[in-house]
Amino acid sequence: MGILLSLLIACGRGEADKTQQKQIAIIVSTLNNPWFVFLAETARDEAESRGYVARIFDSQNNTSLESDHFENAVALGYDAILLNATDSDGSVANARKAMEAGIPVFCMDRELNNPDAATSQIVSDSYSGCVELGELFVRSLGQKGKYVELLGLVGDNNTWNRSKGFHYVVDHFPKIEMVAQQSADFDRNKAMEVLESILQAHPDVDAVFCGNDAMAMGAYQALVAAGKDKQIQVFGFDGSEDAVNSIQSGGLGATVMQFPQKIAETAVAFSGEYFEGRTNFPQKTLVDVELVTPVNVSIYSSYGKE
Amino acid sequence: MVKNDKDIQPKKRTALKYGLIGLIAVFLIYHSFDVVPLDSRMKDSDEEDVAQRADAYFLDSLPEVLANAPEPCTLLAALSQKDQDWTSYGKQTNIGNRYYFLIRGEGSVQEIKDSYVQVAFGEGKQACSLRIATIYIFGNEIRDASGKLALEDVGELTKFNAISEKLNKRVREEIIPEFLEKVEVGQKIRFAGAFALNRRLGVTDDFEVMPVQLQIVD
Repeated sequence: MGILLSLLIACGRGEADKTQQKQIAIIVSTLNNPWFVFLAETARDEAESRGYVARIFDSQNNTSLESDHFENAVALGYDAILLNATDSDGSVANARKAMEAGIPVFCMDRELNNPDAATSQIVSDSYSGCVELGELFVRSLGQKGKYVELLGLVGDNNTWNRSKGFHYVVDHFPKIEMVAQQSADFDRNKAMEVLESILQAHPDVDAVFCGNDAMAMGAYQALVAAGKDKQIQVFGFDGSEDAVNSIQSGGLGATVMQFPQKIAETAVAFSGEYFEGRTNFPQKTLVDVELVTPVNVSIYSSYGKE
Repeated sequence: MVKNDKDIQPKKRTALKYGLIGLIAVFLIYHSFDVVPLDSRMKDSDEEDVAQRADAYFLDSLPEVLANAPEPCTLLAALSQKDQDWTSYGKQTNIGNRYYFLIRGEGSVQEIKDSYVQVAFGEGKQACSLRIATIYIFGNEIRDASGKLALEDVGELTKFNAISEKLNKRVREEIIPEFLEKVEVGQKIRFAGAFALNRRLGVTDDFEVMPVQLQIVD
């Protein structure tokens, strides 16, 4: 009788576990950038629409703070973590902590430089997007001219994926010369300052390629201040609201639209599949990006919202 | 005991002898091994793997699929129909709106431009005209249009992209120059290639086809 009672209690507990709401921690690199705010909030909204409890944690671009969030998520018994990493190398240990505790980690947008560090990584195909942008860049310059490249955070793989894709095309054209390449940390104000400084040494550039739209808008601001916005083209990456509006009004030359909504929804969907018992996920899931130009900008909304 | 010259010299000679032997031994041992950084070894082996995969794909897997590729105008007509399901005609690599297609056919050269050759296919209502790229051959069309090579097969995204680069380089450096040397407006050409379209934008009139096979017929 005692054994039967114990069995009944155990089954009841099992049922309670199944019906208890799943909790998802969304650990995002920074909420100081509207693109990441959109990513995190979309993930949260998608999770809540599926009946999960979701909470956003801001790492403020600080890997140590990100580590604290992971420790808290593990201690509080979260069932899954959606991670937008602060650093492709530095965040690996943080993700591993959760994985070792049996909590799946799904990376959003930013890669980790270790294929086993996360359950799955859902990222934009930034390299291919910048190959396409590179072709447009070369065509816009008529295969000759001088340009500046503003790089993002050097610890973020996205910086190098975008730069490599771009250079893969542009470096084939010997009459196109890069006169300066500098990091502006994906930051609008820093990009403005950096370009102002570069223009002192290289006043005769024809174009600027920026690793994200925030820097592109900062670069464009610098050109407007210098009275050179009509003669120097600026190209960005992300598909932010500012950038889309700027292209529409004849500012930026083009951007590459990412689809954070797709990334966030896929990450949440994968979490759901994990809760249902799926264990085999692709190491990397790529989401297409699309080139937005003055010709097709009217059919796009910012952040690829659908 | 006082040392004399005769005692010191043999010791020095012995030291010199063993010293020389030691030097020769170190020299021989050093030149028996090739010391290279581990990174460079891995890089060489990755490059070899990429080259082998690109060759195998271009020479074996791709031609097999190309042999059954549709005629350009038939395909474009199908894709242009409203609400057409593109998944039956094209391949996708990623989540999104980009589709890749293969085509083959015989057409006649209408124009030779700086970065493409305009070729007319079909006749009458079935006619269409396409741009065959001759400069901007950098994307993933050739790698992805057949569906025979997937990221999971290769493992790493960097290698997967490197395969695309190898395939494109082959076309840019081997197929295009020979073709451009001989091609003239009005000539008939036999052609097979790959292109990409964005489902959101539909069939545009300025997309370029990446050539895989190009042969002047007359």
